[in-house]
Amino acid sequence: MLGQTKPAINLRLHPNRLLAQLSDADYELLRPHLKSVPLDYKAVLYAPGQPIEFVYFIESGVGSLVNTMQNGDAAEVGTIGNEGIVGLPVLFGDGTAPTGIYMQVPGAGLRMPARIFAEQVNFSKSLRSAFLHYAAAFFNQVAQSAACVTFHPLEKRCCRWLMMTRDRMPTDEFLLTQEFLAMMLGVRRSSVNAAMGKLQRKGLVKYRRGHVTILDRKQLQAAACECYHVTKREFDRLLGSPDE
Amino acid sequence: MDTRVSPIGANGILRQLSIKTLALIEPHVREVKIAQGTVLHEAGETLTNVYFPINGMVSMLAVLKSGEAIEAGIVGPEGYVGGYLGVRGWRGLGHAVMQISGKALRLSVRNFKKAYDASDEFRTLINGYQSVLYFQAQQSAACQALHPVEARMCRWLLQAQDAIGGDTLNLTQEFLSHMLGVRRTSVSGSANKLQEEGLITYKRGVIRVLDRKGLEKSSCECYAAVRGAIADAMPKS
Repeated sequence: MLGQTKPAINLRLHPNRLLAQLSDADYELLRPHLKSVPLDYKAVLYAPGQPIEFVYFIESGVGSLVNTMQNGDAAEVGTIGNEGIVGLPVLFGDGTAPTGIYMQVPGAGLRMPARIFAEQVNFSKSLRSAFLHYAAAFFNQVAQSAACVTFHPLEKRCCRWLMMTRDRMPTDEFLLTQEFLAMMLGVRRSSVNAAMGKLQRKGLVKYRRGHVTILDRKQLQAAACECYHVTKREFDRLLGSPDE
Repeated sequence: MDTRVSPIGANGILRQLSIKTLALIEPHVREVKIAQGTVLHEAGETLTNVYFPINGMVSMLAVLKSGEAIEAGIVGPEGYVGGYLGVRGWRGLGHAVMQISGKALRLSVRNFKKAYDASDEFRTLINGYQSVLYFQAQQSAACQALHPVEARMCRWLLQAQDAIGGDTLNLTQEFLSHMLGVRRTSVSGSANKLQEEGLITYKRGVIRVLDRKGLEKSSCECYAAVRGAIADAMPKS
């Protein structure tokens, strides 16, 4: 179209899979407001009850969605990586939420002011639609995780989480603290140690001082509970398969 | 014009619509009876109908291959059952099962989509209720991880009572086990505990609420949190 600026990059190659799915026109509504930021370990992207200032598109790393109760007890209910957006409540017109997002596997991404994001999704039906699709897939992940933690054995769940994290990172090696793994799995650190020890003995991973190296991706996938495959299939259907 | 309360008035979403928007929907809805145990849709399934409950209660479940399941949220007459706009048409959000028999207004996805696309008002209400379902899923996941089983039971019984309005809850043991995230055999234990405290009676699988205020007191905070989310997203419902 005459006069229309072409995006500087091939959108389909964008490290955030959700942005990569947008039409060029929709991406252009967001692009001028996106700023590259590091996402450090334990960075608070938004806190419960506080106004959500920015929405984030993670490019590497994993954010943990934590639901905090009145007495301070908290449980992790979902994770977000390069397949999604951090700040979904804004999409539904909520300026605050009872949940918070904390970076648990550090990485980097893009952020933009929540207010402008809200304006753009109001303006463009297709943009809003893309994020609503993601919201539904995310809901399914949360529901699946809740069933998973209730019924599936720890070792299988551990493999699931390791593979989910691997899928969101650019390499086989990444920082993954015992604290985070324990929270994701809903168990004590000693149980995490024991589970990781087993996987290490089986040659699937190396785990040293909070650094995980995935040694055998194929076997690790096979050892994961069905929840890994169910969630992956859903996101791949939504976003296109990232597998080369 | 029929002067009895229209079923439209019984559903929290439909009753908020202007006459203009209702004109897109009312001619196409059909009142249907739905028996306990009916699966309204499975997770991810492409839908042909959506449902606006008039009474009764629907449960959104997360179901595993083994058939084990847990409760992700409850839908009553304040909302609708029927999923989300997926990449290819409307898809089922979670596994929706009728837990307490009742009636609903059924609308084909074709007509639902027409109204959704044409009316800002309808779209806002539908999206608003979707956010309530997402909130419920998140809250329920945390509740499952953190709260003691009796407090969870109080919470779900209160939500069920809100959905159907009466004191008698005809819930199957299977459903109770999904609500509590425990094996079926553990359900009686928790129910008996609440009975000992005078909050309910539990006789041959039928629960009767005796002390509503007591249930609210013994419930985990998730009951209030979900009510708050509904009030925020659907202020006039």
